Amino acid sequence: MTFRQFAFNNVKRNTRAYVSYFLSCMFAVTVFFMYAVVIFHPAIRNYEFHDVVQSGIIASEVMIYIFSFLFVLYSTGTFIKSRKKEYGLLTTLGIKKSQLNRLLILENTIIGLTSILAGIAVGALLTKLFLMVFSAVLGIDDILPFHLSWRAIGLTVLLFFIMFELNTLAVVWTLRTKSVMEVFRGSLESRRTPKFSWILSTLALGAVVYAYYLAYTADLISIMWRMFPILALIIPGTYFLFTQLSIATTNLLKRNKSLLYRNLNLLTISDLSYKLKENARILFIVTILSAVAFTSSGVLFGLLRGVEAETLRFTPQAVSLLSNENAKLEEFESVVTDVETQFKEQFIPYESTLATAIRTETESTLSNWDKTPVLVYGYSDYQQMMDLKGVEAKAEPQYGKGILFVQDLIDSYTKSIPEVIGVKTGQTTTNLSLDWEVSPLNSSIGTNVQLIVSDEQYKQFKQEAETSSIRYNYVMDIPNSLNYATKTENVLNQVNPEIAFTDSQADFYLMMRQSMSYLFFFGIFISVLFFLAAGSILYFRMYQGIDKDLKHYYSLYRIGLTSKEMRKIASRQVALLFFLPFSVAAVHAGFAFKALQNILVSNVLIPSIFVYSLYFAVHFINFIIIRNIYTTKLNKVM
Amino acid sequence: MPILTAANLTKIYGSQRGVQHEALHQFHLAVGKGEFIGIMGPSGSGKTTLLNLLSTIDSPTSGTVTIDQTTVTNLSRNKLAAFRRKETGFIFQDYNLLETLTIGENIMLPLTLNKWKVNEMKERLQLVTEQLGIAELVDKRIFEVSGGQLQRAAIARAIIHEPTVIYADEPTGNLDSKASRQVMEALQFLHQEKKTTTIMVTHDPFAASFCGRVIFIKDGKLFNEIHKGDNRQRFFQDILNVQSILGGNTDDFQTVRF
Ligand SMILES: Nc1ncnc2c1ncn2[C@@H]1O[C@H](COP(=O)(O)OP(=O)(O)OP(=O)(O)O)[C@@H](O)[C@H]1O
Ligand SMILES: [Mg+2]
Repeated sequence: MTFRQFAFNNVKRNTRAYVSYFLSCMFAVTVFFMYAVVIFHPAIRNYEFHDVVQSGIIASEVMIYIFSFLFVLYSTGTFIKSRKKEYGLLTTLGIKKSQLNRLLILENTIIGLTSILAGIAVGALLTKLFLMVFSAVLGIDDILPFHLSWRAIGLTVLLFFIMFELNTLAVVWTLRTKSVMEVFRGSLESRRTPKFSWILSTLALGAVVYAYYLAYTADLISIMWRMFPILALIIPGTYFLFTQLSIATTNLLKRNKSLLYRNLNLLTISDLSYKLKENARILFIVTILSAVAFTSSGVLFGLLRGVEAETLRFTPQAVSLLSNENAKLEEFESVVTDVETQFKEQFIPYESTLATAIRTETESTLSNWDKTPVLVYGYSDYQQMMDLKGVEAKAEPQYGKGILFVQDLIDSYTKSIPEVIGVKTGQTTTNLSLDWEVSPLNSSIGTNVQLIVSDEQYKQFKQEAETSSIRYNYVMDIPNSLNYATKTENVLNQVNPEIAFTDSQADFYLMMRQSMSYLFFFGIFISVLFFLAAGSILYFRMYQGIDKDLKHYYSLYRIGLTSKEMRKIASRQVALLFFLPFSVAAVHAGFAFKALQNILVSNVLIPSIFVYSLYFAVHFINFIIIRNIYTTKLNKVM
Repeated sequence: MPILTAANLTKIYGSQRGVQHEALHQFHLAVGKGEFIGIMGPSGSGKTTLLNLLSTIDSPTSGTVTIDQTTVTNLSRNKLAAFRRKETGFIFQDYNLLETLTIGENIMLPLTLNKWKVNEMKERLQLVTEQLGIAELVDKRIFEVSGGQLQRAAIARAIIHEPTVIYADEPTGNLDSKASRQVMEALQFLHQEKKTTTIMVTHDPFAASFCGRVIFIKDGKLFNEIHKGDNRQRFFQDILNVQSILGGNTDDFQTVRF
């Protein structure tokens, strides 16, 4: 038997250990590849993303790679551990160090290559499935046709081959630094009482709480520089939460003897501290993955839900047509008639009114407010427009006063509004004292600001103003206008821009939704990937450890543990492994939502609750399935 | 009135279609109350199989086992487990102690399963560990104590709930002669004090000489049965004789222990 045959047979015989190791590796490849397929998709590659989004997409891929690396490294660790006895045996039988190294490298390369191939195949399949489900569920058909690019395949093969080889070298190196005896003793290591440090536990808790505080009190400005410290606190904090504080907690539980010795608690709790210690790093990875999944889908879901609210906020009127400087009244009226006819033909319900306005400029000592273009409306026209929307109008301003309508933007802009402003009409400038208000009117090209004056004042302005500064504003109201968005958009697209400037909720809404859809796709894709990753990692963990558990429960069976009790203990432990990271991630994401809430106007509470419930449902089903598989397996020795 | 009866016990390993192996063939055994019985025989003769059937860990292909008037072969698996934890105690060659627990916790395990009160558990633990000379080890971990001490801890666990029958499968199999002697003396002490019925599988004629009766199995059938008279030395010699007829290897130095 040649050495290569020996290595090959080795893989063939140690099936359980190899299968779980192989599946973990394959799974890491699958996740990375699925994402690579999407970002190398021609439609995505040629799409002009915002820079921030672009770097976000790349950052996610890097993150997936890093997590894959950690996960594979960890899997290799458990794999090697489960076989330390064998290596020890081989060494005592006189295998040369170089031969053992070659055995390890050969084994790992075989597993690495097959898992890359299998991972790509499974990844392609799952991507196809995801695209189908995504389109079906969201009703956005064919956002991306299925397409495998060679770049995605090439990148995956290259990066993972490098990863597996580096990984093997790391293993060879760690084994080299240990003597044969230590390798042999490797299997005993797990028996030591799990240790922890109070200092690290306290620091971890402190770091997490402080990060929560930073997130909770963040605002639009401070979040920029707080982002990094928050991550720098929360990630190591979470890590030590699982490696230190969890052990500290179980140790405290163990001190309470009357609790510890009650029925099944002794078995549950003492075994738990080992399970927590062994799985600390996995739980940490799962927590971070879940937190990212929760946060990103919560944010995106919030944004998507926000599209309607934002539309109504920035385009208060369903449709508005504002005549252009050089357009004649007859031309404008024929355009309006065209639009009305088409609306009728297409059965779009509407009501309308026509207002006139004077386009002019302001005068102010504040440079922000000097020479600002403004549309001046008389009170009656304003009242008509409000009536159309079914909104109560403000009271008529007195002569010499005006109501300034400004766009709904951030505070700093509205803060500097002057109390008195000059309005130029022809040669004269009239000073008006101002009230101001967020605009209930659509904005139009070049004039974001509107001014409402009394009818008397307006009459006077109109006499003074040049005829070229008179504008006509045709305004429509459509009940549930967003339901007719596409039709409305089509009609308005035919309006000659030389004659009238159109603005509509339909336009705004469709544009927003379009620009959100890829973003949304990515967000959901990543969330689903991460979430699936989190669930599967837990499954692999159970699978890898099952030999030990089988032995453990057989021992208990022999002294009279019933299979019902086994189920109870195992369920409690699996539940903890499942829901501990879930809860920690949920709290993490909760504070992220709070920080987001501080920035956004729209409410993120409802979307975040929705996201949690959805993930919880999926996670719970996942838990039930995995617990059943696990207890059924254990039941074989009962 | 025997406390344990096995009638017509047959155990066939292997699936219906696969390779089948009859490890035990129509075996009969009656064990009286308070008896200390040894089971011997060559490797592969079916000793462990028999013990597993008698102790309800495994179920026979055919035949019945009755313990204390309960026909345990009719019970469901869950009922069996509940029965085991109350009525039986086990000592295994591999100790079967849990790594995750301390020695004391391991010993108390049957009591926690039977929902005892904490104080009573502690009292009982004190009592048993003192009897077995391991009282100072209760807070130690499995890997911190010797094999002999582990086996005595396993005995403590087997007797702490005062079972009807104690089963031991090669309790001295992993121990040297000194530790074996300590373990056997502990078992003998318990047997004399508590009159607990004890069934022990062993390869070791020295350990077997502590029993009141030794049965020999070969190829899944009863081969011979000898009783201890009043002389242990002679009993030991008888055991050696039967073993040599059986073809099991006997080492000369085993006699050196006396
Ligand atoms: N689970 C099993 N499946 C199939 N065959 C088994 C199984 N357990 C035992 N056997 C076979 O049944 C026969 C009796 O085995 P058993 O373990 O009872 O022997 P033993 O007398 O305890 O031997 P030893 O002294 O070596 O422990 C052996 O031939 C063994 O190979
Ligand atoms: Mg045996």
